Amino acid sequence: MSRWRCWGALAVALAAGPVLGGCSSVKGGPERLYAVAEETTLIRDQLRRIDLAEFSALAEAGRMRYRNDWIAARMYAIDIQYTSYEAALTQERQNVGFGAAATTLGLTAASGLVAPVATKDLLTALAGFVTGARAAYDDNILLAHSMQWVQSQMRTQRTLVAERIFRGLKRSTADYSLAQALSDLEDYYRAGTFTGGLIATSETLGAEAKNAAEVRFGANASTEALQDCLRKPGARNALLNLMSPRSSLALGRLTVDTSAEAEAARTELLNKARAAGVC
Amino acid sequence: MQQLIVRDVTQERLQRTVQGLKDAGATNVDPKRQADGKYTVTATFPD
Repeated sequence: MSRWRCWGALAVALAAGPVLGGCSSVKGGPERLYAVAEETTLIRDQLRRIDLAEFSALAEAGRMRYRNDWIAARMYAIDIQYTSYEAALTQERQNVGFGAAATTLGLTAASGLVAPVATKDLLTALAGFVTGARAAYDDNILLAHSMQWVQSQMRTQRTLVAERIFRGLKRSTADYSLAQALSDLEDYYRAGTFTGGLIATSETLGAEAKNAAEVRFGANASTEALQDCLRKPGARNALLNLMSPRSSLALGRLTVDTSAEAEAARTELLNKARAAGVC
Repeated sequence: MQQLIVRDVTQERLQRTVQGLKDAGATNVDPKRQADGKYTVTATFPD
């Protein structure tokens, strides 16, 4: 095999990553009529500074229009900046992950096509380097927290704050003051930041953890007595009425939990149920 | 919605356990086999 062919194979392999990494599917989206910077400038030029004296002097209809126009324009400015930011986050993840995978595949394929041992070793070493670089990146904190999940939390939070703002904009300035609207606008901006997404993620995971209970299975005479009782028509509601607080999850737990605490609660419940003629 | 995760349910007790959780008000009960042959049962309750 000629030297040129060897270098050709290497060039093809190295080119595969960047070429595939530049596919349309991994770009942020179609071209804009105005670039983000141009559009931001247009909005800024159109937007007057808030003049509280002028705002206060207006009649209620004028104040609402002033507030709503100002908030809507700022929201739009935040939206176009956010789109750009979100696309950059997505591209960052895709370029490294997909680009490295494509380059590795290209190098592996090329090493099978060339004969000289030295070239194969070089290609294999390069493939190992690229794979190692990706592994190092994957260990990065951004990916450890799953960027996709964080981005989805950012979108959710932005939608929630936007809904709050839109509801507010329908109200009078006495009910939804300009200051409140500006504070919500700041929340809207923060919801679209990576920090906002991380906070929302940890809150969501915390809430999910709070809503899950875990127990090791156990069975004895009293769990079977409770299960037998539950099979009777109307027993479930009657048993729930005897519980404080009323909780079907707690009732379900009593059918499988043989810890001392659960045993005591189950015995008390069964005694009450027997006295009431339920079981 | 709240979830109750019950670990180490034996094969012999599985059917009765699932039925007991449903009778207690679980809207969805999902048993999954563990590596040791026992089952982890996830029950979803509306409250």
